[in-house]
Amino acid sequence: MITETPPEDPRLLWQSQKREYPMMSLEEVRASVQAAQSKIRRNIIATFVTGGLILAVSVIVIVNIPTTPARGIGAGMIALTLALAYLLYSRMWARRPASLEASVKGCVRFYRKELEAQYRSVQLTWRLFVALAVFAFLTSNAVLRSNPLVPKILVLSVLIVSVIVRHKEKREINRRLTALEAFEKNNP
Amino acid sequence: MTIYGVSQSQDDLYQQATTDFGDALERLVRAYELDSDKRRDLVQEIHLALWRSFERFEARCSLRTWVYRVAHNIATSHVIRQRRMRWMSLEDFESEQADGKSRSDAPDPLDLERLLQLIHQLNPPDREIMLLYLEGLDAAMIGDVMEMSAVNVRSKIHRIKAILARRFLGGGQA
Repeated sequence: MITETPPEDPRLLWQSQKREYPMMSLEEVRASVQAAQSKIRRNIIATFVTGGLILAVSVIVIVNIPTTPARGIGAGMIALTLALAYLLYSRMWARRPASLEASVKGCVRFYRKELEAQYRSVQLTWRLFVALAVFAFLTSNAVLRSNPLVPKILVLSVLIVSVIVRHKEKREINRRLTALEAFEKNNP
Repeated sequence: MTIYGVSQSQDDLYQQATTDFGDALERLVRAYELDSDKRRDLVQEIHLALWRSFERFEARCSLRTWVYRVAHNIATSHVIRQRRMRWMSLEDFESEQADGKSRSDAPDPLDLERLLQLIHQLNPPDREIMLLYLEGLDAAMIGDVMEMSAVNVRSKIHRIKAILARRFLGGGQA
């Protein structure tokens, strides 16, 4: 990668690097784009079909099997499926600024959008965790026949840990946004 | 679409871009990813994004500006996803160098690995300016790519030169 006698000028040194990979042909690029798009479509369709099936089976279980454990498992499956579907959606959302819409914008603006999208994603995921934990806390009495104190403590612990983790993530993104604002202030 | 009075298709534009800037794109990727396999993937990702982007290229900016914007945005997205290390601004570097924390008294010999090490510590916007400077673009061209004023880019370049000089050349101008 480096010329035998490195030049003193960093720009000459930088530009003296040789290619690592053969250039992609136009056909390869086209084929790769099509393959990537098909794969994304397939994955999304498969995920949503599977999620729909799990939801349907869970609802059938809840309606047809009138025992508390079966209903608890069904409700748990619904909650898990919805949580995973939401996670998938929020990840897709957080990646949206990486799309080619961003290619016409400057890097700084793009970077800000990416951070803001991450912030929104973290904030919404955190809200979902809280809602799920509160739901589990309130329904534990009805679902469990044994002493509900242990699951309640567990649920509360999970809630507290998730709140702390999410709060830390939010603070880190906020820190980056503040650094970016300082950068933009210095470079109006 | 029409570029310089000549009608060009998406394929023509892509081929022109890879011919003119293919080498620069690979150098750019080295500044964003150290791992060889991931670097290959990132190169491919940029090429795919470039080809797709030419579908909507309307020649409102130069081909060079367009190619660098797309490439940097994809690469920035990549490093944000990786989140491996804490980034620094050029100003942080300067103050660290002034405090004597980041280097010994003697300047390091100039080589590619050390240069890459320095680049990898920079935050994405400053990294982009550094890379475009190393590619030989002037302040006006960098400003065009970054959508910043040439005056601001000049002050950044001044900092970059000072950092490179202190780090590798013992205080002289890079």
